[in-house]
Parts: sequence; structure tokens; C-alpha cells
Amino acid sequence: MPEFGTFTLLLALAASVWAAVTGTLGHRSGRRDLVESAAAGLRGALVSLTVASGVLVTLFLTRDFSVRYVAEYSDRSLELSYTIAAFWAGQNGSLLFWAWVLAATSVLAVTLHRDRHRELLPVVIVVLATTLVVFTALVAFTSNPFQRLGFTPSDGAGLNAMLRNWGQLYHPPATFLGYIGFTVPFAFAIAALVTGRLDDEWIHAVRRWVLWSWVLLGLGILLGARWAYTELGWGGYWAWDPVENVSLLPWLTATAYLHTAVLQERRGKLRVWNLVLAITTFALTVFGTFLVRSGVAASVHAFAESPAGLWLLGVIVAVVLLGTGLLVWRLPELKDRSAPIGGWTRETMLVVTNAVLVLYTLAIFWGTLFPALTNAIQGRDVTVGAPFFDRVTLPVTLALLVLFGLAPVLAWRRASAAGLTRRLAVPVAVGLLAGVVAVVLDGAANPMTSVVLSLSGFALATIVLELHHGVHAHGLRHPKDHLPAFLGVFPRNPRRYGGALVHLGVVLLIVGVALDVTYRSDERHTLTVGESAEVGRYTLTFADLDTAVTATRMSLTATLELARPGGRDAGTIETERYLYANQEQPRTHVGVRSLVREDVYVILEEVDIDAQRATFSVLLHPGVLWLWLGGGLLLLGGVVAAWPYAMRRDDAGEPDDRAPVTTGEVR
Amino acid sequence: MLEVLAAFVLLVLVAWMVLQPLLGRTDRHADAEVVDAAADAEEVVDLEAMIAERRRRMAATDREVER
Repeated sequence: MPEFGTFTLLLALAASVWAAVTGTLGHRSGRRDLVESAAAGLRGALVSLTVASGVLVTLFLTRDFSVRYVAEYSDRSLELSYTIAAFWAGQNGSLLFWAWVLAATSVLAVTLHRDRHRELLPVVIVVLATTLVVFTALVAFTSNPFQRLGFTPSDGAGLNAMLRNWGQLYHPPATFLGYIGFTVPFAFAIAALVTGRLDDEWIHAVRRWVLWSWVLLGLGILLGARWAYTELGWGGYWAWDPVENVSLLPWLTATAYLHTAVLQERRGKLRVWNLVLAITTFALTVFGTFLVRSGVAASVHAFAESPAGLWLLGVIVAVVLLGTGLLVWRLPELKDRSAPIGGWTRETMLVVTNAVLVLYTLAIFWGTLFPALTNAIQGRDVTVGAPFFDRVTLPVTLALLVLFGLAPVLAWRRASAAGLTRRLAVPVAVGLLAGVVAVVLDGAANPMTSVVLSLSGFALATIVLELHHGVHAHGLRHPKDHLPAFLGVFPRNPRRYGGALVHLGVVLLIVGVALDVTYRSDERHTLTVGESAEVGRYTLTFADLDTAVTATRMSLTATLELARPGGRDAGTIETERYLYANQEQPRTHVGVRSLVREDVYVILEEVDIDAQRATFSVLLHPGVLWLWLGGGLLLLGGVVAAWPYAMRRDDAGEPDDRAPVTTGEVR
Repeated sequence: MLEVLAAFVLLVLVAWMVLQPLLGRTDRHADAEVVDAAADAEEVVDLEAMIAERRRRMAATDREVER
């Protein structure tokens, strides 16, 4: 069976090479049959890679430990869901998964765009097929998951305990889907440059691709943060780990693109910049893959160093050279001859937003790569840690909050001081009030947090007013039905109100993080069963200690009862320390009780079974619930903007300057 | 043996997929293109007829007003 798996990989490689070659010939000769054959080549690669994936899953399910990858990432005791998820647990399987999803995405893109974008399609197919050639060759020649061991062990090494978490089921696929989705905008950008069709056609074609990829990558990042929070036991959700950083980079450039693409559609502006962002976003997804697989960065996510890293570095260089070359070639046709952007207008705010996001991307990129570069050039080990990234993030956060509050009230093309003052009055008042409340409650101990909360109030007021105006305008037709009026605004203008939801989510997320980093507390308590400890405003009682031993796993579970002031029950918390028989390090399952004001986060540190005594780390995380809610709302906003509504809607790109308040839009 | 058979079937399937457009299937595609083109042309004719009809009516109205 593994040999059959290798055959399917080689067949997929042949089919994608065929697609790239016939696509190129079809583009040069203008022959439709060749282009059709190229599209069929992509479908052939998808069929082959689907079979390859099926073979790998079957090898896992049948526990064929003669295959190295199966023996390294599973064992007989592994549950069904994690046995299937072991597919993408290691480098070889994750690259096969990548190639398979890339093939599926390519086939979907070609099918969806074959009628509307016939001129661009041959080059799009060539770019997608060439990318597929690289990834399929990578799997077949450097990271073949079907390699045999040469002997058959009685059991496998098993999945790392850290990966036996719900996060392993959803975080990698969501992140990969997001990463891979950005290949399609890249392919269209290259097609626009090659064919010289530099108008808005490619921008329209990729709108939903960028949005869905942005949502999926955002979901992957958010799930990863939640996984880290509940599994790693250090009480955090973002560690500025190099691999976390590189997942953020394409997400940020895609966010920048979503803002400037509007400018191209409406004002014909930033045509070069949009192409640069589409190409850069793809290059950054490959950079992320490279960093994980090259051994360049020390990270909790990194796989062992492998030749795959060198291949991927080659892809990045090729993408940068190709993109730069084509842009230089087409530059005369891309020159902007319209009136420059300036003044207090929406256009200016979109450009400023773009600058903030791109500078932030550059800072994170530099901070992530600096240790590796220093090591390579000077041979010194340098660490760029959280303090650097936190210092960079603070001004970006402040700038974004100001932009969220300011940009939506500005109109396109023109600015009126009187109108601006009138529209800003309420948000500014709310912002000031929020600042005063923050200072009073905080006792002016954390002035920067008060500034963040004040600006959050300002931004929040603008966004809520924006939604209110939309609901009010829509509600005029349905005076009695508030909920249908509220829900009705989203399909009417998905970009505008989807964008408002995204901004609302970001503000909630910022508030959650600001409250948490300022006011979190950490205590240690050693308790015997039946004893209680005061933690902040809560009483925590160690109710029970349970031991469970099976053939493959040993665990100690502590149950704690949480009570609010006055003894009111606030639920129970379970935290576990466990060890798998085939692994060396015991691990901890964190116990978390999420309340509106804060999370009570308990880690079982040490246990004395005979004395029924245990030591707990208890962390109070204020505002963390808002972080997750904000993250969810952010993604929901993206879905609202990307959703293919069946009903009539005005998202065709016409500016609506008549609206009393307008928001920055997600395209 | 089963694996060899499966590999052969898969090879034939993929080869058939990629070669089909070059071995006659294009006729069907060309037909579809002709139909599309015909539909487009029909639309143009309709549009032209509509414009002519509209101009005729406007001229008639103008004459009526002059009278």
C-alpha cells in the first residue's frame, strides 16, 4: 500500500507538470483545448492527491507501523479522531495535506472563474499548477510520508501529548486553508501582469478569495491562541513565537490589501500597491511554511530541519523575482494619473491604515528574522522576545483605534469641517467618558491602559452609531421589527456592515488584551482536600483528588469548587496532571472557568497523593472572555462581507456618500 | 496485485482526463461557445430592435407634440 501511495504522488506530480506545460502552451497559442487540458491536469492532480491522502489515512487506521510516518505519529492506543488528525501532525503529512488542499483550491478557482475570466485563466492555471508542482515534488522527493522503516515495530511512538488536544483537529487545517487560499489572489495578480489586463478585473475576481482566506487564517490563529491558552499551562494565548508571528504576517498584509483594493475600485488608486500586496501575501505564506520546516527558528511549532526548507526558500526567491520583474515591466501602464489623495477624506484614512499595517508587518518580520540573521552572519545567538513586539504593538493599537473611530465618519473625496465636528461629537464624548471612568477605577496607576480604553470607547461609539444608522434606515421600511431590521442591514451592504463587525471585534479584542495584561494576577496555593483559599474576590475549595491508571495513561485530577463573594456558587474547575506510558514528560490540562469579568485559570503543579495535598497556580485573567468574543466577531464580520447573498445587494462598488455615517469597509 | 491494478486504473483515469479535451471533447465546448455567441448576438439584436422601437416612438411623440 505505501508503494501505491508513492505512485499516486508521482502521478499527481506528472498531472500538475502537464497542467503547467499545456497551460503555458495554451496561453501562448490561444488554443482553448490546451487550456482545457491544463485545467483537466489540475483535476487529475486532485484525484491523485485525494487517493494519496486516503492511502495515508488508511495506513494510520490500519496501524501499519512499517511506514515511518505512521510509526512516528501514532500508536495503538490513539483515539480515532487523533489518528486521523495525525495525518497533518508531522512535516511529511502536513505537506501532503497542503498539496491536496492546494489542488482542491486550484480546481475550485478554475471552475468558478472559467466563464467570467477567460483571458486571465490560462495564466492563472499555469501559476496554480506550478505552485502545485513545487509542493507535490516536495512531498514526493523530500518528505514522502509513505517511506517504509525497513522493519515493523510492535507499536508506534504515539502522538505528542501536546497534540492530543481538540486544537490539533481544527487549528492546522484552518491555518493551512487560509494560507493556501492566498495562492489564488497571487495567481490572478500574476495573470493580470502577464496579460496586461491591469484594470479592476483581477481585483473583482479575487475579492472573495482574499476574504475567505483571511477568515480561515484568522480562525486558525484564534484557535491556536485558544489551544495555547488551555494546553500549554503558562496562562498566555500569544507568545510572539516565530511561527505564530509568521502566521500573522500574511494576515496583516491581506488586511492591508482589503483596505486598499477599495481605493482601486472606487478611485483607480494604488494599482501597483495592490499587486505588491497580493504577491507579498503569498510570499509570506511560503515564508511561514519555510520557517517551520527549515530549522531556522526555534519554536514550539517547528518540525525538524529538512531539505524542504531549501526548496521553499527557492520558491520565495522565485516569487519575489517574478513579481518584481513583472511589476517593473508593467510599471508604465500602471502609472496613476488621477488627482492625488489628500485632506481629511476616507481615502487618506485608508492609506494611513495601510501604512500602519504594513509598517507593523515589517516590524514583526524583522523581529522574527533578526535572531536567525544574526546567527547566520555573526554566529551569535540573539533573542528578540515579547518586550520588543509589545513595544511595537502598542503604538499600532493606538493608531488603529483612532482610525476605527475617525475613518468611518469621513466621506469619500470631500471633507466638511462642520459635518465632521457634528459626527465626531458623540464618539469623542464617549471616549472621554470611558477614559475618565478608567482613570477613576484604576486610580491613575496605569495611564496607558486608560488611554487604550478611552480610544476603545471612541472607536466603539463610532461603530455602534454606524450600525444604528444602518438599522434605522432599514427599519423605516419595517418600523416594528427591530431584529429583522438589524439582520437586514448586512445583506444590503455586506462590505460596509461586515467591516463594522470586524472593527467591533478588533476593539473588543483590544479591550480584552488591555485588561488582561494590566490586571492579571498570579498566586500559588498549597491545599489539602477540603481546604479553601481566597483568590481575588473568589473562594476556591479543593474538593477532590482522583487518580486514574490505564495501560497507556496515568492521571491525577483535582476538582476545585469556585464561589463568588457571599458564597454564591460559580461552578467547578477540573485540572489534570497526566502521563502517557510511551512519553517521558508529564503534562497538565489547565482548568479554566470563564466568567464575564475574568477567567479563573488553575494549573495543578505538584501533588502529594498520600497526604491528599496539591499545589496550584491560580491565575485571574480579567477581560479574556472579551478577547475570544472579539475574535469571534471579527471572523463573523469577515464571513458577512464574503457571504454570497442570494438577494439583491449594493456591494457592486458604488460609493454611498449620502449615508449619514459611513464606515471603513472590508471589501 | 490489487495495488498494481489500482495504480493502473488511476493512471488510465488521469490520462483520460487530461487527454480528453485534446481528443474531441473540444467539439462540445466549441458548440457551447457557439451557443453562447448566438445568445449574445441575439441579445444585441434585441437591444438594437429595442432602441429602434424607442426612437420610432419618440419621433412619433415629437410629431404629435408639434402638431
